[in-house]
Amino acid sequence: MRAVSAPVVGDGTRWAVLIAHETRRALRNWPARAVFVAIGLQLAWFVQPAFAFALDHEGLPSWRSAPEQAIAGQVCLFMIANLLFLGYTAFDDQHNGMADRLRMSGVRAHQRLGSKLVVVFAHQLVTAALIYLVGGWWFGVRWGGSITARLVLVVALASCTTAMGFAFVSLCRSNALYNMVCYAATLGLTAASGGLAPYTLLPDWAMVVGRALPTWWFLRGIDELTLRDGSLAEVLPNVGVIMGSTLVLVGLGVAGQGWGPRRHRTVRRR
Amino acid sequence: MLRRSAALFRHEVRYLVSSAPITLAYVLVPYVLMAFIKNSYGIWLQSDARYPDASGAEIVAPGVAALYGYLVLSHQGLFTFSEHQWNVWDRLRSGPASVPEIVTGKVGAHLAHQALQFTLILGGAGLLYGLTVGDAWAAVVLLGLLTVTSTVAWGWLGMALLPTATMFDAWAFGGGILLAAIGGAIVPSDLLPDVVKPLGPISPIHWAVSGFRTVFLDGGGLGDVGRPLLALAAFTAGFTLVALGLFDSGRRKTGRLQ
Repeated sequence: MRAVSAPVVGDGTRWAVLIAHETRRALRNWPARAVFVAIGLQLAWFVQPAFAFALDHEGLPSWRSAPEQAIAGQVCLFMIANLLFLGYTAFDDQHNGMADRLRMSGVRAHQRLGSKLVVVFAHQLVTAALIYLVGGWWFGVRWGGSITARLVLVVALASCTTAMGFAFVSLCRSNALYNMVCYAATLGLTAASGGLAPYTLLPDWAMVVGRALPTWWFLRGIDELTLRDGSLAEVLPNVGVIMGSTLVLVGLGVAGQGWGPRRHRTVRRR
Repeated sequence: MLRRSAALFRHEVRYLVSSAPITLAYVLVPYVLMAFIKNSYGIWLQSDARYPDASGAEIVAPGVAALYGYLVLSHQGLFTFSEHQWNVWDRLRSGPASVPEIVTGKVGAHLAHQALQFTLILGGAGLLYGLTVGDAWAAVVLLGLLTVTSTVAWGWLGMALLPTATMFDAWAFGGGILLAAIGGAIVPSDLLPDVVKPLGPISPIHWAVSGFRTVFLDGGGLGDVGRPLLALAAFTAGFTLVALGLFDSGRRKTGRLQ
């Protein structure tokens, strides 16, 4: 009796199929994602006068910096908030047995999660581009400093937040815990970095704590561009810190080993 | 009826207790957030000659407590949406409990959980950041209670409206943060754009913040917070009526992305 042989699928094809599947899943849920972008733009509008108040308080030129600082704060906030969507796709696979079925068909755990992260990274870039471009047009932002530097900072932050999603998925035991961690990170990191209220109004201790956060270095990079017409070379140290944080987060995700086929549940039950 | 609702109430509470670290984190994280943003409120308030000693916690603490009520809806909602995914919802409906009994049990648990969370956040902020109530306990209790009821009603409106847990998350997180921003819980309301300032009253969080501000900053009592109390009661009633109108117990919901 001849064994039935399955067609051989190359790694490239497998990646392409998985990424296409994750993209379709993401597009099916576009209204929730669009709502996040719309709220990001509205919040950027709302917090601008507070940024202007703080810059005036410091004797800095608020008119040239406040709009972009407000936009950059919301880019931070909603790039992290977007990770909520990753939780649903990642924990779904575990919950409905899809992870096991994919493994049985030869898809490895890193390919399954990696394809999701590729889509998350693309989603982060789209979110940042929409908030930046629509916000820039709406608020009449004066693009001081290097445009390339902005692009590099945004790509670095998108990498870092994607790695953050990987680490969270790997370390959290349930979707409910993952959601809570995302909420805490979204508001905590953005507030501690001066994305909700200007960082000059943070308490002294918070300015020390903030330096440990990648979002802090992203926002200070934007400050450098808007306040001092900075160049790419001047924000490269910031990019370096953000990419360093990315590596640490990837390391945490790998060490957590929670991305393989095992234990995840919607909620933790006794 | 009460016996069956009480059983479902206990079931919801068991879920919240079994996920205690998560439930507790929604209480503890707000203290950290307050620590980061209260300074900016303090500086802004001190620029007003009436409040030379304000710390900012007078507005930030109730604002963040109200915001986290909206965020924890996601935790509560995940369980209910998961019941749809596991087909438990249909099995519940086929049992002896009627739909009003099922909903009463769940809403009761959500109200109790939210009330406890709000009390712990505000009480903890009082200890950590020196909020004093004085003789205005009745005003604080009523404001807290109506803030909680309006939040739970918002959550059930989302559950009635939305077909997936992901959309419900956007409702809880996006809606909460937007209402908090309009309501002056993220940026002082006087520093909002001029066009946005008049929109404040459309947010329940605006009324919660303004009521607590009257108590904590101006030393007001129950007689001074009548308007915020009425507004919060109206939001609760409005959200509840719309949710009841839209609620369809037979509508298929998916726990996750579809």
